[in-house]
Amino acid sequence: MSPSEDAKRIARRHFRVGFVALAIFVMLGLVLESLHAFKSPMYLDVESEPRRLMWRLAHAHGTLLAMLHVIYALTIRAHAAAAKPFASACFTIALVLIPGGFFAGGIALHGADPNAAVALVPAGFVALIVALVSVARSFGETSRDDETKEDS
Amino acid sequence: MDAVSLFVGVALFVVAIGVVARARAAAGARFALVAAMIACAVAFLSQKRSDSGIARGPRIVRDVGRDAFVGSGACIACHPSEHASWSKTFHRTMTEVANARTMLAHPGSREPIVMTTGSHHMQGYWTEDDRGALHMLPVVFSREENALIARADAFLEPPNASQHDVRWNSNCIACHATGARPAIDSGRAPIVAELGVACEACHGAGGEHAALERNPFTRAFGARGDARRIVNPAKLGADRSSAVCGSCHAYSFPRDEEKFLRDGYADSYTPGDALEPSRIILTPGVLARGDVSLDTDARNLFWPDGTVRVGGREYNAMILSACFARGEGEKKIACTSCHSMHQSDPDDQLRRDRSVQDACISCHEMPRNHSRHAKGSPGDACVSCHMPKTSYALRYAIRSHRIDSPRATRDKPNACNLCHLDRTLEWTRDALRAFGVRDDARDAPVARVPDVPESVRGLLEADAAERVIWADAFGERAARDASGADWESAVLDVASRDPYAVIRFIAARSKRAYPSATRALVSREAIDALVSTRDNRDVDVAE
Repeated sequence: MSPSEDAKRIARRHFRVGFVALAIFVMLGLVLESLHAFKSPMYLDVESEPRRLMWRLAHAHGTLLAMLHVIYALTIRAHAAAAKPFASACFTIALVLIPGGFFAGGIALHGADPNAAVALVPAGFVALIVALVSVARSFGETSRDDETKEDS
Repeated sequence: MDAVSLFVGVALFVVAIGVVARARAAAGARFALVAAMIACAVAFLSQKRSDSGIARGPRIVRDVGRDAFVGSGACIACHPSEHASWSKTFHRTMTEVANARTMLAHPGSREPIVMTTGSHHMQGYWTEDDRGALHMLPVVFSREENALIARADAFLEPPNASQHDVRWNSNCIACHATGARPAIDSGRAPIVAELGVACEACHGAGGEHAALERNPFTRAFGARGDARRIVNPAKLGADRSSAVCGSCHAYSFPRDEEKFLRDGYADSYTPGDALEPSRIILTPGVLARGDVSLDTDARNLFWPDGTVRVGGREYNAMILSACFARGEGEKKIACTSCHSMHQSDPDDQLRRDRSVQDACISCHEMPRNHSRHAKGSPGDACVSCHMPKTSYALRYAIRSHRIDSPRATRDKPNACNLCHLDRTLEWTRDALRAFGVRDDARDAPVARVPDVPESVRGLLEADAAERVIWADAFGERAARDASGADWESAVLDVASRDPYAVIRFIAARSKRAYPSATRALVSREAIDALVSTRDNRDVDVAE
């Protein structure tokens, strides 16, 4: 597979993942709205405050990360060198772990604390930071390549 | 739920590992990423969890869901501002499970402390015995002194009184918790829907209401008013709305004592009802008839004119006021005329939207110079003359809620002399007569020690429940300003050696505001005579 085909494949995958995730997390937003509409005790009671916070964070982070996938796909179209398989995997991991950790962390509560599943969140952020640094570096590498070409 | 969370968490992590494994990258990079993710997760988990707080609460079953109670936590979904304003009140913190957050001090105790009561002026601590009965520790925390003090020094108790066992389950439970069933002698633990005075104490059990209102279509298009299945004291008439407050702020006795010890008032009273079917409101008449037998002298509870002497029982006083007894409709006074649970400062819970003075003049036209005091001065305030501080609780004199006019009698400390500390009762009688207010000459009591200011007589000669009122009055700035400040410390010195610890404390507190005496308003002989004729009857006001 040529580098440009590889880049197109990664971009397509991130468009697909991004829009599917956007649909999922927008739907989660609708579910949360419905819990408000029906004044669900498991979401709105004082004792459920940590759950409400965790699920709102899951919704917000999920939606933003889904949009980040779409932005990453658009970036690859404009700049093929950003299509790095490792960065791509890290973006996907972040999309799974960050909102997933917030959501799972709010399922069962321990007093004012979420459960241990919330530990997935910092792990997801590690993956996200790796992905972002990796993409940022790709621009530096391209600049150096361009300079080398000009020199030769 | 924990198992579901664990399953979801593990599944997500497995998916993440799978994504890393499939990624086309160097094995070292993939390994480093997984290691960093795991290290980060482990570091997060090893952090100290926040203190969700509760070492061990009392065995009182906090049985939300029973009797259609849902607990205050359910109200916040639709009433967040009301929940927030109630959360700031001392009603909410009236009774709490003992933990690091709720305990203002940590008294040593062999038994674990499981619960606290009070948080405004004092906090008491409770231990639990094998049968689930709660007993109060012999020390309480005083916020004023910021120290633990002996319980005997906190309440008005005779100096030689034995420390009696204060039991929460048979007495305090009814008003210090919501939806209480004491279950005394039943072999079961007592049941409460919620500790403290929560939403449902005033609005009634909210189960039906909450179930109804959870449906958004009912909220949008449903019926209004009573069909909402909840009581709003603000929309009740003065009688019933005040009864809601009176359900705790009244001296009363259950009509069916056996049932009360089993079920409290859970089955016999709901907010919005009248109080009388469930309890007898105590008056000197009720006690004299023997309808109710109490283990205390009626004189400890009521002044000779029938006004309650004990703070926290304002309902008994208010219903004797003409503003309540003779008022009608909008012109009938209610607790909510001056107080609000949600729109007020937590200290006295006085309404923010209008002053007490405004509450009075909403019915009473004020003739010019009615108060006979300078405009804007303390003596010009309605409450100074018509609601003097003649009841007592928790080391403070509290305004009487029997709204009446000053009289120059000894039925209770009179409003004039509570400020004009340097004047005799005869001076007050002459002043009231000159104002054309009242002629109390016929009722004028005979002074055992003549020509002594009424305040000094009350401080040194009266019974303990009256001495404590006068001791507090000496600490009022308005009284100091009206009476000069150059003679009081001599008599407060004597009061600081009173047999009652609480009176000694309050007299010493009041004395701090005065310089040393430079004028002998009362002779040494008169002081000795008053002390020698002091009413030494045992008085016990455990409020």
